[in-house]
Amino acid sequence: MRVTVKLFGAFRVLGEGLELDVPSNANISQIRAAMMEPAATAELLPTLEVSRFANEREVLAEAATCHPGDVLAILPPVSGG
Amino acid sequence: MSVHVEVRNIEQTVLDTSEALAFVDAPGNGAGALFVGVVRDWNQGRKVKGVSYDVFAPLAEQSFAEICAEAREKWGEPCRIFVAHGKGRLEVGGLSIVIAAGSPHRGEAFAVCRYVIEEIKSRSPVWKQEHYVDGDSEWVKGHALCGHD
Repeated sequence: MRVTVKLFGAFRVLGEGLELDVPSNANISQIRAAMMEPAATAELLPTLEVSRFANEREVLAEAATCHPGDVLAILPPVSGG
Repeated sequence: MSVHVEVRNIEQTVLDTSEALAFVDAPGNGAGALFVGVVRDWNQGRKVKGVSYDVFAPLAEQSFAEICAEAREKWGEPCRIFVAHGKGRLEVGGLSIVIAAGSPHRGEAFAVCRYVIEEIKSRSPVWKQEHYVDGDSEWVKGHALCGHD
């Protein structure tokens, strides 16, 4: 199945978002794994490791299951204010 | 409504402190406190000429609302709170965030402002990219959100 991950902060160097092909019912850990290759190209593997994933309502647990067409966001460490 | 939260495109409309103070004003409130975040011209020994703010707006506004609800629970329902965070690029001196709190007494108003900014800095999905006078840019290292479950 395909999911979209919107990119923020340091991940913006990879664009606005990534479309990932992942196994059906993939969980967040699998989404994280699917992002390792693009993250590596931008030397962002350490940042990927400490980032969280979210939808528009909540930050998601690693075990949370995704569905076809889901739009997620990757949240690297925050620095607002 | 006693709370206003907003992510604003600051390249179109700048943040406004008078708007924030007007929102928190109420007949029963004898105190109004204001916090503003301002782009400064240096950080960690480097000269800064501007900062870009990236925001995941839906979740950021939700986190602002949750933080304000927590503050009102701690310091009292009469509290009125205004939070607006900028999204986009600012030059030195620009306002990145405006927080105002109105309450019957000054103690609560100061405390609410402090609580809201500290919680936003550690919990809300906002990222800051500094632009230096030497032409380089760098994302500010921030606070990791809670660990993987």
